[in-house]
Amino acid sequence: MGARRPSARPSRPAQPARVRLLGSGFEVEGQRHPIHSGALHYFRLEPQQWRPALESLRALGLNMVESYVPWGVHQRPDGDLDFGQHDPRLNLRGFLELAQELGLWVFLRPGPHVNAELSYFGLPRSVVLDTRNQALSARGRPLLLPAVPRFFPVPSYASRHFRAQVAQWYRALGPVLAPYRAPEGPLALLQVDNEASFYFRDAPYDSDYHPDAIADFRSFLQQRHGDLTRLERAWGTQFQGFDAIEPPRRFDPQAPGGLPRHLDWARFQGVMLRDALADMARSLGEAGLDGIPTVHNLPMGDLGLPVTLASLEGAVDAVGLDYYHGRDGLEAVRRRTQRLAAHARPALAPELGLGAPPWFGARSIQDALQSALCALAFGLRGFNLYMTVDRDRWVGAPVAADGSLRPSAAGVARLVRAVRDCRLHQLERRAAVAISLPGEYAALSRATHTLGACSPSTLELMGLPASAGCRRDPLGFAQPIQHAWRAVIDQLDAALCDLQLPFIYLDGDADLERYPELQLICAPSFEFADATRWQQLEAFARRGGSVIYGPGLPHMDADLQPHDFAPPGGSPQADLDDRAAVDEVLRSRASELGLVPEFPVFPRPLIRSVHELDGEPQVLFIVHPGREDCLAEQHLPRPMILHDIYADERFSGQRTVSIPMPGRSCRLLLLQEASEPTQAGDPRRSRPPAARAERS
Amino acid sequence: MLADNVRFEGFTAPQFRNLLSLFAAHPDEAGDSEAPLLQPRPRGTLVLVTDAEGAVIASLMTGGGAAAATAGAELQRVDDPEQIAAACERAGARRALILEHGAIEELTERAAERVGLALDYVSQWLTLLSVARELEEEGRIRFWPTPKRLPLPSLQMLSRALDLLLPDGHSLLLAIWESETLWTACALHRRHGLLDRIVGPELLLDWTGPLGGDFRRDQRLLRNVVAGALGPLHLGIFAERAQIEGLLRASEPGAWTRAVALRDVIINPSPSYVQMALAADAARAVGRRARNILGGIDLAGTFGPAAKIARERIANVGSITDILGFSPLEGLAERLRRRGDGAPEDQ
Repeated sequence: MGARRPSARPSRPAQPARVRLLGSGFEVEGQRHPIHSGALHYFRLEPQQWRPALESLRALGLNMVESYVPWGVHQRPDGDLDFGQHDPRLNLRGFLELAQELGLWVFLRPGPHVNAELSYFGLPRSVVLDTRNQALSARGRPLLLPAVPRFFPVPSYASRHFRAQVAQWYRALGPVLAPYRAPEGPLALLQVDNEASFYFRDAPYDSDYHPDAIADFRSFLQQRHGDLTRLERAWGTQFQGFDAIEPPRRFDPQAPGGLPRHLDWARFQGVMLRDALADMARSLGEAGLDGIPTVHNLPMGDLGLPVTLASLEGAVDAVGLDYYHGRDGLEAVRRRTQRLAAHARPALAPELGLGAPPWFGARSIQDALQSALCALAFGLRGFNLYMTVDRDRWVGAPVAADGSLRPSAAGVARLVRAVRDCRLHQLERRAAVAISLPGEYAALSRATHTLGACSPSTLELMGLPASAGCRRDPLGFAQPIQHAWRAVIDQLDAALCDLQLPFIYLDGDADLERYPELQLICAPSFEFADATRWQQLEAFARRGGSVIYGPGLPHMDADLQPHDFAPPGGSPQADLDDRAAVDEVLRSRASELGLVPEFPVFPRPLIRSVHELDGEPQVLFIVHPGREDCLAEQHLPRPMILHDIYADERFSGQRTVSIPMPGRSCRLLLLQEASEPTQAGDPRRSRPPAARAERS
Repeated sequence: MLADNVRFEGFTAPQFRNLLSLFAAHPDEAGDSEAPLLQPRPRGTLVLVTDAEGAVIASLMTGGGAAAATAGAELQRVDDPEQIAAACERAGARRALILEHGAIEELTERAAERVGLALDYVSQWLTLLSVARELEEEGRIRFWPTPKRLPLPSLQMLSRALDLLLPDGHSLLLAIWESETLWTACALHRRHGLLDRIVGPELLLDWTGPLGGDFRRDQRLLRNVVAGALGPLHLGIFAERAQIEGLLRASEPGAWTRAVALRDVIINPSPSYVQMALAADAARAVGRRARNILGGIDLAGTFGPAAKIARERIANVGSITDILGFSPLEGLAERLRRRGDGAPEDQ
C-alpha cells in the first residue's frame, strides 16, 4: 500500500460548505467536477469579446474560467469602485452571468497581489505609495521591485494598515460576488493573494523590517520559546524584555544571539506569510464569501521560499504551485509536483503556464504541454491554463482575444481531452516512500544566503538549488550543512529514481499521521535537528514505519541546545552523503519492506509513474527529461496495449514494449489488457475504458 | 519612455520568438527551446562572493547543470586573475562576476534612496545601473575578464536618440518575410513622449487582411495600415529574413547601402539620419576599395575633414551614434557575430 494524499483538514473554523474540495476536484450539491480551468482577463477584453472567447475556452474541453479581479483596475482615482458603471469592461456581474449561461464554473483571484503584468501588480497606486503599507529593508527603506512598466515599493504582509485596506477591498467585493456563489451561481473557487513571496523581495535580510513585522517577530519568539529565560538560553544573550529584541539585519553569527537568532528570523518569515494569508482568507469569509474554498499559489522557486506547503494548509483550503517551466525543466517539474501532490488536496496548479510575459522571452507551446504532462505524471490533478485567452502583455495563449483559435489550440485541446478521457483526476499515484525536507536546514540555508536580493527562490527559478548562494564555511559543524542537506536530498532522489520506487517529498513540518500508507521515510540529519520533526519520525517508526536517516544522529535541537535524539526504530544512521551507501541502504530497506517497482522502464534517465483506480493500474506516464531521443524499454506485468491518448499512438507487447521517446518529452499511456498475445505494433483496436465509479 | 498603460499585443509565440531571434546571439537567449540541440550553448558566469579581505565565501555558476552549485569551490581568493581564469576554465564559465559580500544589499539600498518612483521605467533602470557602476568603481563588484565599458547614457541622451528614431506622435515598423509569409514584425508608437503601443504581426495582419507574399509590394499596404491605426510612420524597414539577419551581423562596409540599392531591404520612410548613415556606409565602402586600388592611400582619412565640415553644415541632422557616444548597431552586430564559445569571429 502506498501514501495517499492527506484526508484530514487542519484547524479552520467549520463553515457550511457550498463547494467542497476533493482530491479529484470539487463537489457542488453532490455532483463532482474536475478543475480543468482556463484563464481569461475580462477586464482586458471588450465585453463583446467575452462570449466568443468563453465559447472557445469551453471548446478546448475546459469546464471552468479563471480571472483575476484587480483591485487597482476596479478602483477609480477618486477611490470609488467601478464594477461596470463607468467602464463596461469592468462589469464583473455581467461576466459571471455569461459564464454561468455558458455552463462554466468560475475561479476568481481578487488579490490584493495579482501581478498579471499590471502596473503596481494590480494594486491601487494610492495603496502602494502609502508609506504605512510599505515593506522596509534592513536599513528602513522601501523595497523596490523592478517590475514593468514602473518600479514600485512592495507592500508589507505584516502591515496592519495594509491588511485593513485589503479587508475593505474584500468587503466592497463581497456583495458583488456573493450572489454568484455556487450552487446558485458559478463561483466555485477563490484564491487568496498571489505568489506569496514578499513580491519576490524574499531574500532573508530583505524583508521585512516594517514596525508591525518586528512586533510580530517578537510575538513569534515569545510563542516559540515560551518565556524570556528560554530565549536567552537559546540565543546565549540576555535581554531586557521581548520588546528589546531586534531582528538580525545581516548575517553575523558572532553578534549576540549567534546562529539561533538568524534561524529564528528565517523561520519567522514563513510564519509572517502564513499568518497574512490566513488573515486574508478570514477577511474573504467575513466579506460574505464564506462557503467557497480558498486556494493559494506559490510561485516557481518555491523550495527557496521561507514558507512550506504544509504550513499553508492551515491558512487556506488548498495550496497550489505555478508552473512556467521549459522542456529543460522536466526534472524540476517532477520534484515540485512530488511535493505538491503530497500536501495538497487537490494537487492544483492555479497557473499551469501557456506562454509567458514578453519580458521572459518566447515560451513555446511544446514547453507548456510537455511541462503540463510531466506535472500530471507526478500527481497534478487540477489546473488552470494561464493564459488560455490572449491579452495585453502576454505571448503564447492558444485563443486570440476575439475568440479565434490559434494553431497551438489543437495541442491544448488534445491534452485536455486526453486528461478527461482517462479520468486522470480520479486516479491515484501511490507512493510508499518519502524524502523529508527538514525545515531547520532550509532555515540555515536561508540565513547564510550571500546574494542579497538575488534570493534563494530566484536561484531555484534559475535551475540552481536555493542553497547555491550560501556561505561555504561549516559554521562550527562537521560540514557546511547549509549545502550538505541539499546534496543528500539529491543523492536520495537519484537513488530512488534509479530503483524506480515511487516517492513523494514531505515538508519537515508535515503531520506524518496523515500518511498511514507510507512505509519508508528518508530524512537527512546532521548535528542539529528539529525535535518535533524527530518525534514524528520516532512515532512513525513505532507505528511500523522504517526511517533512513543520516549522515549523522543529531545531538542538538533546532536552537543548537544539547538534546537527546534516539535513532527512530533503533536503526543505525546511514552515510547519506555517499552515493554508494545511499544505493545500498535503499536497496536493502526496499527489499526488507517488499517494495518492488511496478512497470520498470529503461534506460535512465527515463522515469515512469503509474496511476491507479482502486489499486488497479490505469494510466502510465513515461517522462524523458534528457535531451537526446531514446527508445524506452517498458516492462509489463502481462500482455498489454499502451495507448498514448495524447499523441494517439499505440504500443503493445507481452512482457516488454519499445516506445520511442523524443528528448524532453512525456507520454500519457492508457493501460489496456491485451485479450490475446500481441506483437509490437499490432494495430488491434483496444477496448474503450470501462465505466468507473466516481471517487474523491 | 514607457507609458504606464503601454500595450504589448498581437504576437503569437512563434512570431515573438522570431523577433527575438533577430537580436539574440544564441537561440537560448530568445527562449527558443525549439532550437536544434547541437548548437553550442552559451556558457554561464562563475559568481564568486568574497569577504572584505578578498577570501571567497561562496561560489556558484549560472546556467544550471549538475556542477553549477559547486563551481569555483576550489578557489580561495580572488587576488590572482590567472587563478580566476583557471577556475572559469574548470567550471566551463565564460566569465566571472566577483561580488564583495553585501554589495547586492548596498546596490538595492542605494537604489531605493535614489530611484524616483515618479520616474519612468528607463530612468529607473538607468539609476539602478549607475549605482552598479559606482559599486564597480569602488571595487565591490568586479568582472573577469574586464569588459569593454560602454558609457551609460543619460536619460536626456536616450530621449534625444529616441526622438530621432521615433518622434512623438509617430510610429516605427519593422517587418520581415520568409517564404512569402510575414515571419515577424513589430510596430511601435510613441505618444506624449512615451512608447504606448507595441504591436505584433498577428494584429497587423488583422488590420491588413491577407498579404500577397511579395514583401516589396506588401510593405506598401502595411505602411498605410500602420499609419492609419497607430500614427504617421517615421521609419519602416522591410526585408526578407535571410537578408536582414546577414545585415545585422555584417561588418563589411557598404553592405547596407548595397542592400538598399538593390531593394533587398526597403527603408520607407527613410529619415535623414538613415540616409546619412547609408551615405557613411557607402563612403566607408568606397574608402576601403579605394585604399586597395590606390595602394594604401587612406581616402577616408584624406577626405574625412571635408565630409565633417559638410555634415556640420547640415545642422538639423544628427546621428544616434553621436548622441549616445556609441553605436548601438555596431555593438549589436559585434555581439551577434560571436561564436557560441564567446570568441569574436575573425573579420
